[in-house]
Amino acid sequence: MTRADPVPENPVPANTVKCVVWDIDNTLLTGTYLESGDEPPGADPVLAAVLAELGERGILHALASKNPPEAAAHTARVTGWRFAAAECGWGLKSGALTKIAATLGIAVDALAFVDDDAYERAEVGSALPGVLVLSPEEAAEAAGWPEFSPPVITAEARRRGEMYAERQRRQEAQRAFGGTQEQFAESVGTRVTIAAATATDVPRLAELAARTRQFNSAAGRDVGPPGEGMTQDWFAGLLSAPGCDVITVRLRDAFGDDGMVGGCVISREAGTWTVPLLMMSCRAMGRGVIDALLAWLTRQAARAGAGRLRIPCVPDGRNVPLRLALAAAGFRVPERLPVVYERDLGASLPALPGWVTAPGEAGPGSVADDLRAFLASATGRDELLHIPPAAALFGAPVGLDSLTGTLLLREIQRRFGVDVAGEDLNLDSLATLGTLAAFVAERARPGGGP
Amino acid sequence: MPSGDLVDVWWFDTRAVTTGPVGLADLSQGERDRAEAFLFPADRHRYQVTHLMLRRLLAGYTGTPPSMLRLAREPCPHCGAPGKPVLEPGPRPVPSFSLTHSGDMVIIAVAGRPVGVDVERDAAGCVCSLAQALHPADAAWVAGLGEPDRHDAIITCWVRAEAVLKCTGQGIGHGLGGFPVRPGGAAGPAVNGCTVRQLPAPEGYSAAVALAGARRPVLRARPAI
Repeated sequence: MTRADPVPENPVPANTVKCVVWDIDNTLLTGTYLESGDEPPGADPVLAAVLAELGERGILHALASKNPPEAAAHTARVTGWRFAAAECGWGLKSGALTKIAATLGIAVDALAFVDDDAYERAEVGSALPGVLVLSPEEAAEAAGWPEFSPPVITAEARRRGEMYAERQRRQEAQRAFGGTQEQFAESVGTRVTIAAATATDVPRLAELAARTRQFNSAAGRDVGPPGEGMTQDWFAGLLSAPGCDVITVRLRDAFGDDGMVGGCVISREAGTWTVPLLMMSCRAMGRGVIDALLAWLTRQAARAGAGRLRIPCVPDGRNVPLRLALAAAGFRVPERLPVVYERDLGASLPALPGWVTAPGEAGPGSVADDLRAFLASATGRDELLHIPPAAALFGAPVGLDSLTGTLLLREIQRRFGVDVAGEDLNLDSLATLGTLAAFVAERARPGGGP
Repeated sequence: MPSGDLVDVWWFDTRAVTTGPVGLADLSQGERDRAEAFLFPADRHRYQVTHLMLRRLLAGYTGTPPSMLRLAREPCPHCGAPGKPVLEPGPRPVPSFSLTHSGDMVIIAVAGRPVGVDVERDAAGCVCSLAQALHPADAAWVAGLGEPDRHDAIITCWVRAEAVLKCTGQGIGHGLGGFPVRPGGAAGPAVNGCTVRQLPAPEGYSAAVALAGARRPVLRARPAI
């Protein structure tokens, strides 16, 4: 383990472990799986308790074993634990760890590795110096170490294991899906909600500040006045600070609800918006969320009349994904130091995907909710509050009558200024609630300018 | 089959009708599939009841068992797309019919020549926005009325216009403001090649029937089922 070099005025905290990769034989099991015949060995009771204790803190567990896959299933059964990933085979353990990190979408140096075999520990330690390598005896004590003690444990953290299982199902579905990432996101009902933070969001914001690495503009260093860490108190103070906005980003789709996956702090001064902190969980990686947040920031800054949008960034080896996303979103670094990404707000503004709901933006999510509420009140049928986006509105399955349909179109014109019947001559947009809401949001919210 | 200018008007309340497996067996496969597609049970029930009653009534007029009746769609006279549901012609003349529902009420109108019927339950909120969909002369007329007369007048014009367009087979997909329909207007009850009459309706509903030709329909209210 390379513990970070101390930087006196700006200390980097010990890397928090996000996933522990366990060996099976003589580590989680009290013997060797393949040598025990009909009665495979049981679980080591001390380490089984460590699994549960760390799992409660939102730390994931995975298996890397020189065994057939049945050994992983057996280990899951006897420990009672659902492992987020398992690599069984006879290759190098460092290779197994690299695969597990990729599967889970986390950095390799957010892993810890536990093995009773000194050779395996040495192999992983030399190939992957960022990994915290432990013997089973050390792992038994690990619950007390700072690397295994995230400063805040939120509901999102406790659900983390479940969310990684949802992530695997999502990835399998995406591999089977023929279209683009955007089409896939749309087809599985992706919903990104950008909103102003409230007091109840503060613990999760502090957790994101402590845990995120690949999408963290501060690279784990404190922003703001020296000595004040990015603690809950710091975030709570920002909520009421003048000229300052704290923003949360939530993500969900048909596979599951990831909860709050990101956030940022905006400091508004005359002519310039600065984002001193921008952070996003790697769970949201590849799902268009960071791009949506950057697009929204750009649009809002331009609409507020700002000439510049600045995102200071502490570059390190791990936040490369964030810097790539900034570059892809049209941000540039005009001077080498300090590193501040800037975006021209005069050029045409980025569009915001239809599945993003955000302040100052008419999104199809909110449009669909408005349409449901209108239909329920116009017909006196409360169940219409629950029409799913894919449901056809006329004929089966919802069966609106023509008068209600006409009233709906008139209401859309009144509320959103969109003349559906005039702009969509074939009325294709009326197929389902989702197509109608998307059509209305698209026209109520053009991508070309403020 | 109703002769001359007779229009049989069958009203029923979908809540009062139950369907059983025997009744549902009278529906076509297409109708059963469509019923399955409904999201909410109340809508599915309404659809099943309406189509079951339609088949039973038409069986009474034609002497063909309900499940043997063959329904087709006439092309829209405006665009040619499949439109108004009709009985396929048989060896003997078949009656014309029209079906409408709103809220819990269903009306099936049956006549010897093309007929259209429409019922609407009063909307819970303001319907003034619908005035823009009406013929300009009707829109001007309703604009001059105070509430609650304006509200009633809008719904009255709506059901008359929709009944006429269902009679001609065009439906309201191409708009319903092509001709004035207001009661007592210059053209009288003759509208767009049809003759239209307001139907007596239960509290909270408005309904109208239109019969092809210049002769006023003679209504024959059938017992509720």
